[in-house]
Amino acid sequence: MDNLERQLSNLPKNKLRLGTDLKIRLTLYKMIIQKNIVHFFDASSFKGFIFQKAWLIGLLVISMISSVSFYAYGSEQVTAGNALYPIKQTIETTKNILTASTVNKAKNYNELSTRRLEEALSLSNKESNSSPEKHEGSNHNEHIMETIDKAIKNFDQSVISVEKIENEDEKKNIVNNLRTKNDDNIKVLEEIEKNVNIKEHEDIVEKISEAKEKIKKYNHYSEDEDEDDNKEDREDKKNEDNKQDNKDKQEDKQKRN
Amino acid sequence: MPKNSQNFIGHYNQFKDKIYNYILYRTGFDRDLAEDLTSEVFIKAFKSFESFDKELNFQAWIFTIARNHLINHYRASKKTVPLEDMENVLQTKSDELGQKLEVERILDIINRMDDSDKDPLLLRYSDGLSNTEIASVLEKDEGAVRTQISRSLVKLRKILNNE
Repeated sequence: MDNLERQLSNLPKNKLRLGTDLKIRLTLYKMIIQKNIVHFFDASSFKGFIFQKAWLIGLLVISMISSVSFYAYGSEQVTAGNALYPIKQTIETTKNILTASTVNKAKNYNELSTRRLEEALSLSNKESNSSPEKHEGSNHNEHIMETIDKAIKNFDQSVISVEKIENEDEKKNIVNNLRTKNDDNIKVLEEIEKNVNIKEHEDIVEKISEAKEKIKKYNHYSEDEDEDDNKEDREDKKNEDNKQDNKDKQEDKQKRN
Repeated sequence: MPKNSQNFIGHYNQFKDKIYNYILYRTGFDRDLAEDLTSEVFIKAFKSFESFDKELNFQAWIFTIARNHLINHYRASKKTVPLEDMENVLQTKSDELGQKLEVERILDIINRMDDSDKDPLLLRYSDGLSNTEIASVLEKDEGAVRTQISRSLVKLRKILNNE
């Protein structure tokens, strides 16, 4: 390197002023942030992920809701006080609203009554298996009472629906089914009675008695109705037979003459 | 911060002074203008950094952007490079070197030379680029750059001896 080259190499090397350096740096950082935000919401990243996976997320959510609803509707363990109980009741109400025929409505109400009693039994089992302190101050007993009360109301509704059935044969079938189920329900009520402490929960016992009485009364009434119907049928038959006899006798008499 | 952006900031730290110096020499030592143009060069570079081939030399790439930006700037403003401010810079800088008069003379001559002579000389000696990098910035092959620099040096030496 000759002298000229050395001199050229020693040409002043100027530096960017600190203020300008910071200004440029800030502009660059601002651009980096903007770019990252745009990139994040860009179709290839965020949007792409959301839209591409939307169906999967939707499917997952639907299947989760379905599973929870299915479990809530089918489980006896989902009782009053349980977080899933409102879901269970919503499904039941929807099912009832969607039922058009009186026959099916009667069946539905009867089924609801049975379900409530099973729930009350499940609650009473919990009651009998746990220490008294555990439920002290809680509304566990209120839930049992409330559930039995709902069972009674549903039973009343099923009776009203049965009365609305116009077809006599269908009505008879439903009443027979109702009676069979009522016998089972009385057994459930007796089990609940065994589970709860009679001395401590007189109100529940009273409620159980009320329910039992109502069911039994209906069974007697429907049996009497049946008997009356049979009696009427028998009398009708007897009258028809008599009429036929008289007719036959008259015909014989005419032939003889 | 994404790796790409981090890399760019790293490059900025490394080349900010070199680009500023390069522009300053070509704007007649107008500090404000050189700073503005430096800022614009780096913004431009950041915008097209994604298209930059990481295997290539960043220095050559950023100098090419700076050179093109300067060409565009002068083309748009239809100005020639002013030299009024040069003395101020030389005053401060050359005092440190103790070669004020000589450096002032050399710079004055270089600035009067054609771009084809001035550019390779400044890139080589003021900006410290290698022949390969200069070839990349000026879009010439390395051999041509080497020849051009030696020719320009001969010219400069001749002028210095004659004046």
